[in-house]
Amino acid sequence: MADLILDVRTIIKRFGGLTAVRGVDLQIPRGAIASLIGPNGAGKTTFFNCVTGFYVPDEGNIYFQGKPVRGLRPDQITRRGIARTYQNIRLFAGMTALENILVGMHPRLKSNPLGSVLGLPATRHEEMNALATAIELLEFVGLSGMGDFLAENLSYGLQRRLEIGRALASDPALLLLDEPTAGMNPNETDEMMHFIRKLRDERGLTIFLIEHDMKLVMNVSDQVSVMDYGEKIAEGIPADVQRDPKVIEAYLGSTHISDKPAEVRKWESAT
Amino acid sequence: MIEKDTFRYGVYAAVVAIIMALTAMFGKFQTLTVVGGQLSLSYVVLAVLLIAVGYIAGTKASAHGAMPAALNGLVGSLIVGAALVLLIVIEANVDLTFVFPDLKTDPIGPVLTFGQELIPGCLLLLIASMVGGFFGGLLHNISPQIRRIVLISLGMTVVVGLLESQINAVITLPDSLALALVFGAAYLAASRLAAGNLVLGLVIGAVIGLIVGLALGLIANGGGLDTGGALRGAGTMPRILAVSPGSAVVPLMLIFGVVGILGALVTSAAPSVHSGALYVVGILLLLGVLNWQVSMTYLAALITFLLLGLMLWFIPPVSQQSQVRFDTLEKGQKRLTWQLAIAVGLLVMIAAPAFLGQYITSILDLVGLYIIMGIGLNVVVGYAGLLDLGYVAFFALGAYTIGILTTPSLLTCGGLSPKDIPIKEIQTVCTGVMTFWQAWPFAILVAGLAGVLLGIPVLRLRGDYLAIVTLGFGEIIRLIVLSNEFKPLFGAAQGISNIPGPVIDLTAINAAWHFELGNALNIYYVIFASVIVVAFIAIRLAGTRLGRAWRSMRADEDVAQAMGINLVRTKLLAFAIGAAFAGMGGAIFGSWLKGIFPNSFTLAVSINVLSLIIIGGLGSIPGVVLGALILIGLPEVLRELQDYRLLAFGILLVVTMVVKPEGLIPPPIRRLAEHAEDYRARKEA
Repeated sequence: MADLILDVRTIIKRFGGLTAVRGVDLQIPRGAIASLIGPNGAGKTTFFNCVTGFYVPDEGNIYFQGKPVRGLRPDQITRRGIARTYQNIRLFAGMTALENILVGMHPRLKSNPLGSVLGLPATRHEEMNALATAIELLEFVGLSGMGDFLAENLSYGLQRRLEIGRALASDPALLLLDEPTAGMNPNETDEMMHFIRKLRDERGLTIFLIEHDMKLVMNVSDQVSVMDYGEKIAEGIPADVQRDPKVIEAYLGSTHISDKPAEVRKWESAT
Repeated sequence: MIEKDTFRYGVYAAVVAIIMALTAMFGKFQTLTVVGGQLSLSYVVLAVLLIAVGYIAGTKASAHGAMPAALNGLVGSLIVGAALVLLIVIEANVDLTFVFPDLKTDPIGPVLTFGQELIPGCLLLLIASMVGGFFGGLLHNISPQIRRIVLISLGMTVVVGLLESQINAVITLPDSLALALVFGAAYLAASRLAAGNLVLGLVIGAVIGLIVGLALGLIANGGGLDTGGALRGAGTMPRILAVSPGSAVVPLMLIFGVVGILGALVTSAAPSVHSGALYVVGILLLLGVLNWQVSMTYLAALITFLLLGLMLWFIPPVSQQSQVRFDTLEKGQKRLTWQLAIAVGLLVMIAAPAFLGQYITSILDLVGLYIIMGIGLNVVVGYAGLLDLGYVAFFALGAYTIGILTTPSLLTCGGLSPKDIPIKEIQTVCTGVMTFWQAWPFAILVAGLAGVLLGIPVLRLRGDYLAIVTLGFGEIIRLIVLSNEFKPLFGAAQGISNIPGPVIDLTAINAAWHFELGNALNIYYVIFASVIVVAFIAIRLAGTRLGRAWRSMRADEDVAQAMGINLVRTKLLAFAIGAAFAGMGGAIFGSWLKGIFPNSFTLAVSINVLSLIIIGGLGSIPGVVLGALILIGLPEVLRELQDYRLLAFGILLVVTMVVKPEGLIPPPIRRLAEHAEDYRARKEA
């Protein structure tokens, strides 16, 4: 078996009478770009939330780099090396781009309040180093020179990049991207595709993303998993998943491919 | 011609005027004279009302020119006047006093008819309202800048007139003239002769100061400032220039030398410092005039008005020039001007009580305590975003801790209540456990721990739920100290009395050096130092790791946690630090007032602190200071308005929140990239 960075074993998550995730198994090898797709309401984001500790799955187990992480708090999971972005951008309003990145670096910094108040040399040194690292990160995600802009004043595309930069700041091994191209035009989507590859190739990250843009999914993914009604219905390399009848049915609602919805047409034209 | 809106606004204003009249506002304000012992606040309020209505009513018509605006204003105010006349006539014929008892002692009629008979008086009121409205409507035709300056100056003149009895003994005219003269001469010389050269400017300023100081010293020695002397006005003795012959010259030269340096420094200081310093000099002159005139005479009012107008007219453009000069300075010199400005500011604050006197200093003390609390609550609400409505509890805990530890109590009397021990024996049987200085850290610690204890159960609560729980907590603490169960410890409704003030005992060095800091003038220094320490801690924390964690938590708690922030630790630290600051203030409060009572720790205190940080600007330390000055200082100073204080307070709150919802001084954007750039440059150099 390959070196698995994330190993999710049949997790179940219920909300009252509704079972949002029904026994999903999912493995991601280290260094891969893996995608999770599925119709709206399929339970993809719930699955993400289980992995990052926002929800505790009712059953099943989650192993990250071989160690169980189920039941840990989000901050503890982040410290172990999983970082994420959000479907609807959730930057810290009222803070600058640079400060957002610095918050992301929080778990890597060690200074305590007393050191901050007294201005101890170690604290100051750490702060200045953190600042330098944060500025480098900003440059990496393409926001050089915009460190002092308030996060909410940046353009939409830049906010997405800043959010990724903030996630990178904690120096994760696994990066979870929840619809990184939502609301982007084709040009921006292309850029994002290259950026995701660059993240893997230059930073050695494993990337796990939820995405609706099929062109991007089919182009960057090493592995695609499909969810519908809380279950995983297919998995494999993009070309295989695409031909899977169950997947087509999930997206179409029936096996009659006469009146294809836009999403399916887009998918087909992408390949 | 006459807009429909004019009638609407007129009727609104008439309703306001009638309410004001029926609550006997006009009668009560009659005793408050603004100028010359004759013009009372009632007439000022009436005039403001009539002119404001005229102005508002004329707004729409002002598009068609001056005359339509003025006529609309006239009609609008006439409605108000007519309503008041109607009220006066009713009052003369029907007994209103059993519904509005205040009218018995302060009837409406005599004031609003200007002391005339009913018929001519009412006519006079109608004419006055027409004139006021006409004038108000015409205001649209004056350029906005002049209108602003005139209105602000008039308003400030009225405020000065009201406060005149409290502020006319601050500084004498010779003192203020001498200071302004040296400051102005140094300012002009430095800006003309030494543009761009900071050090040369400072030297020039110092030389001018020394020369003037020498001259003034010689004049003072020669008797020019003695009673009846050439330079002596009426009013009290000068303080700076009060010198006995023969010893005067050197200290005067030093004082004025410093003032000269200051004048030169200001020329290239940051614009905020620059305008601030010029306003201070202007206000000193104004106070000097008041002292010279002894009270607010018509002359003093005229000079006040002109002086304020000149300040508002000239200082902003001049400050823009100083911006230019400041920008050309090198980084190091910029820092130097800031440091010098801060040093001078501290010196002024340290010297202030000597001039301000007991009453104003005690107001400053109160403001200082609220600044300490405001900075503390700002950590909890402004940084961490945890809405705390029971903040007064920590203030109370600090005060009670100091009370229990420094007075004879259950703890020190072997379990007996001090009241059960004969008064004569009490000194021998038991005293306080500690002095103020020993007990102070405990007060801070107790409050901080209470903050953690409150924090633990509310960790999962947010927003309004948190507010309700903390509100309950505040009341619980108040009820515990009020309850008879704990009477031996907390004294129930009688509270704790005879709390000793902080004592500085240096008798080891000099037998005479035994100071008890028990009055407003010297507790001021304890409060001032505490404000500095607390502000310093808050600023340091806000700018580093913990502060960023707080602010991110306020913006989005879930995401902050997902960024690796331990919410439990971060929240508890916010509660603990905020509470500790309040405990620090509470301890000073207890030992300043020598006694504490449960009634001092009501919900109103929490609400006041919360209001002042919201008005000042959540998350901004200068905002807290300004908020405290406005919300705590102003009502104290305006005690004259008695029953109408809360009304004025409420109007102020509403207006500020509508006009500047983010607060008067919103927190600055932290320009870290710029900062990093500077750091790199400095490192390379």
